[in-house]
Amino acid sequence: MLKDGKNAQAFPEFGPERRGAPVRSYLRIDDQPILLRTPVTAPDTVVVMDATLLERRDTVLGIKPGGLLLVNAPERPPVVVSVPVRMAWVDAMRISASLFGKQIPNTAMLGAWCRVDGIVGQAAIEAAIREWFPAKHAEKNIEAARRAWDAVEVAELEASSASDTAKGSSAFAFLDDYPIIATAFPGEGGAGRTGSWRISDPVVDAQRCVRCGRCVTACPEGVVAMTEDGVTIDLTYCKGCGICAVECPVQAIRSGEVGA
Amino acid sequence: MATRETPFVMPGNSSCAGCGAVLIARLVTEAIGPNQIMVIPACCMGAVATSFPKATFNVPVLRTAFASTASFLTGLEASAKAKGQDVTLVGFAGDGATVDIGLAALSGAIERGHSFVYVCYDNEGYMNTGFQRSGSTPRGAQTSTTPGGVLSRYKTEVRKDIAKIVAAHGIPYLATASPAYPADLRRKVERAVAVKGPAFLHIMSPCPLGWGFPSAQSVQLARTAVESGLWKLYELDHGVLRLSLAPKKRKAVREFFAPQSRFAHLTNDVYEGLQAEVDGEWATIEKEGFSLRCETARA
Repeated sequence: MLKDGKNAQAFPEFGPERRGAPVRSYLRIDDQPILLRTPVTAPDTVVVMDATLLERRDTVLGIKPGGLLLVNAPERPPVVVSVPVRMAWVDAMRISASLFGKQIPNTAMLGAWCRVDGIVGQAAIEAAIREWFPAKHAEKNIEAARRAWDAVEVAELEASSASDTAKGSSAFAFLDDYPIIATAFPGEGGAGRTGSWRISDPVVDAQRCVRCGRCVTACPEGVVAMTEDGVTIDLTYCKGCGICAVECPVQAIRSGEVGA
Repeated sequence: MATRETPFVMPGNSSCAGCGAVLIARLVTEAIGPNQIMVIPACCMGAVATSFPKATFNVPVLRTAFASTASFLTGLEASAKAKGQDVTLVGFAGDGATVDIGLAALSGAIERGHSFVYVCYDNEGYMNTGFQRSGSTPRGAQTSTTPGGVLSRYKTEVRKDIAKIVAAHGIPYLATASPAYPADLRRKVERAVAVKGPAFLHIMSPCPLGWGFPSAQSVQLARTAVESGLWKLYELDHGVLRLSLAPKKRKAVREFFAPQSRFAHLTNDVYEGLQAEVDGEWATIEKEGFSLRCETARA
């Protein structure tokens, strides 16, 4: 932004810094100096880095009518909104996996945002990437931004009266459904379908498997199970850490191709 | 409530891929069974415990402030007594909430002799908030508050040995454990539950992000720590100290440190020094038998 002569302010909200924890951060852009120091409650644009966050009703709350919703998703996400918005999506995860072999969708999302929002020019974004990254990483990140620029898709979304987001304008309106605020109840997928974190699938060779069960014991998530048919892995939630493959004493589990 | 059919740790929780702490939580809760109440302070597992409105652990959990895990256990014990309930009370806290912020409450609760199992999963830093140093971060480690540079040379202080501090209370049961030795861990948890009075478990919890190693190596790294003689598995049961495992042929300590980016700056000299230190400890153990004096703070 600064490179295009604008004023900008960016800051994260305090919260856990573990990988996978939902994080919210804010960005303000203006031609004038920015004096506000508060969270953004009515954004022009919402950028969602992980499509599973769309299951949380507070993710798109407050977005302005006609605003832009940009989602990191492999295909058009099934979003219901209470106001008409322009929705864009791009498979930044795949772009990142193919370029870096890792899940770092940030610069790809930057490229997609640059295209669909248009506030900041592509040249400024690329100059900023060059300035931020050491030379050996800069070109790959610019390539990620360019690929996302080319791949991003856009659709206009109508407002739906059936939308949950119509319930209130406060980010905490969803609490109305819960009589006892401080109590949470056990449930799968508190952090969403965490299988989406995986960049490679664990592959089990049933012929080799000696059914020792070490993978079952060593899986942090408890998603590896021993059944009559041998080892099964719940790919809905498997985060792809790869511990099962390392712990297997007969190499019957391996991590599959990245981005496959 | 968890049963044989439903898991104790719900999948799809917000722990990092390859998290040692959530693996320990699963092994511990499974070993204790459904009749337990967990108390979790501010720490990684505190944040993992709930993604409102969903909870991760399939047993009752009380979330507390950083300093008050053992205070909550004290109050819960009184409440269970008053109601005539026989339930295992489990404190599940990280190293920050145990060796630093919650130490006073823990010390008091052990001294008063309340009945509970306190598990410290030790990931050697404040990992939930961005890898700041804690009293349990080993010497030489790079953290976000002990970077390497001109003005700061990584962590220069020796880590607190929490197990020794707890042992000094004359606690009925104390054990160290590792997620790489699940059978040993399970046996120790069961013993801790059976003991009357306070019991303390100190468990090494590899952290792929904070320590800087690939998530697939979490359990392997915990195993290397034991096999190199760095992380000693032992228990102190009513004054009787026992080494649970003495590695026959010890791996080089370098194999534990080298895969971690927080130790990337360690030089050959440092490795030789560390190796000599660990070799010396084990030589003493072989000659005089294992005692808590053999444990020196290191790295």
